[in-house]
Amino acid sequence: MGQLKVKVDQDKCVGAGQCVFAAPEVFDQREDDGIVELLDATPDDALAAKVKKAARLCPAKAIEVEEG
Amino acid sequence: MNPAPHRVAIVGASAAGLAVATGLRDEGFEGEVILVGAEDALPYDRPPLSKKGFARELSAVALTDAEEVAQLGLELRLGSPARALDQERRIIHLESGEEIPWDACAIATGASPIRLPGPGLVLRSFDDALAIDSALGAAASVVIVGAGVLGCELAAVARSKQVDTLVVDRLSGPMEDKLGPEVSARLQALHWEQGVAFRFGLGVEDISGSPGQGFRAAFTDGTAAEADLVLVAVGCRPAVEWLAGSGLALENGVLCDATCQAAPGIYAAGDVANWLNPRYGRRMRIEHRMNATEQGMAVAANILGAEQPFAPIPFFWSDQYDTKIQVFGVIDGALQTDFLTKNSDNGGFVAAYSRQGRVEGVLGWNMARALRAARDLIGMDRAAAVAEYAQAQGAK
Repeated sequence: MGQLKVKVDQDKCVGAGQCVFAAPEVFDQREDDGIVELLDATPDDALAAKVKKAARLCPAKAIEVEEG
Repeated sequence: MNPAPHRVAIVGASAAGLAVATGLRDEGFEGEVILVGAEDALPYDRPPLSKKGFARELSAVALTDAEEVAQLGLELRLGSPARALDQERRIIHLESGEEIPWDACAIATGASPIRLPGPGLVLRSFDDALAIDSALGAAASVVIVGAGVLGCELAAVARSKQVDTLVVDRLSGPMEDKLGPEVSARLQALHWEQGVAFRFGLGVEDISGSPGQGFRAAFTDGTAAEADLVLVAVGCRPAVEWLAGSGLALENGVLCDATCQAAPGIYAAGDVANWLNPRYGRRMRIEHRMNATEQGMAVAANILGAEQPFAPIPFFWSDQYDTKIQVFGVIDGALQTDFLTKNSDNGGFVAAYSRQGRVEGVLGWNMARALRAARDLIGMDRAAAVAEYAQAQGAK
């Protein structure tokens, strides 16, 4: 398995916070408006399942996950 | 337990239907997946249609594309509404005459907007949004019937285009049945600041007129309002007409058990599903975007034999002007409301809604990040939750 690459689209993000519930190691929310902040754009493979779940759950489809 | 399926038919190609399809592949299902949609378009997202102005390009709201559809190996039947479900022969009949055989089936046909007689416009589809966008662009005034979440969002969009906006509702405040009187009053104040006029406690008797000539909405108290456009946002009904005669129990949607199963091998997800949420111990039918995804994923797993009850903490949000309202759990205007915390900088707050001494839901008003922690209060004793939250805030 190659390196995970995560991208977030802050313009699409609606601040639901579902990604933080799914993978708090990789995602956080801005304090003022709750928009997603990426903590780790190249997370460890061990987090692959959590990161993919975050992408699936996102109600704005604002998360992209690539396995390089 | 149902036998492992080889061919799954999903009826409804919006967020919930797509979540079932992707969920099946995520779970390793290698059989056939047929996705049936009434609209011509690939699955697209509906919440952006009423928020932050309107999306004018379908690609801006697409939930998938041809490449992903090919990767997922989905067989599409778009622009081809389902006409009937035959439980005995295990077939979906399409309007086109085609028969789709299946050994497991997911119903995800969503909900249809309630229309009023006359020329009032409703919003559900991308085409509806285009029509409303274009009409609003040419309008100086609009009457919006319904002050629920959609009516309020439409009012915000109309004001962003400097259109004179009157909102009417049978209730006594915007989203009052959901928010309760205090938060509803807050929402009303927000709209007042932006120049929206309201009339409450009255319904609409009649809508008449035509584009260019102007429209007239006559109200139940004998008064009337004239405007260049009338929008109708008085709620939705689950889209189950096509299931009449299927033998499935239809009662405020497709009646399902806790695993979202309606009959052996037949499941429902999204706006159309009325299932027993074990977390709350009662039936729910949820017309929220988040539920479409979560319930679709749960149905996919259950089609493949997981037999897991679906027990989510529901979530919805609404964007009006620069205000973001978010709710975890279930709220209702009749529940006891506690204001847990306030942000003096932006006027934001978190409120907890309790039924019989137990927290059922939490609402954040411009408090997206803080609300996440408050979600843990759901299910707790009300007094304990209020005390714990205050303590956690004090410790910060």
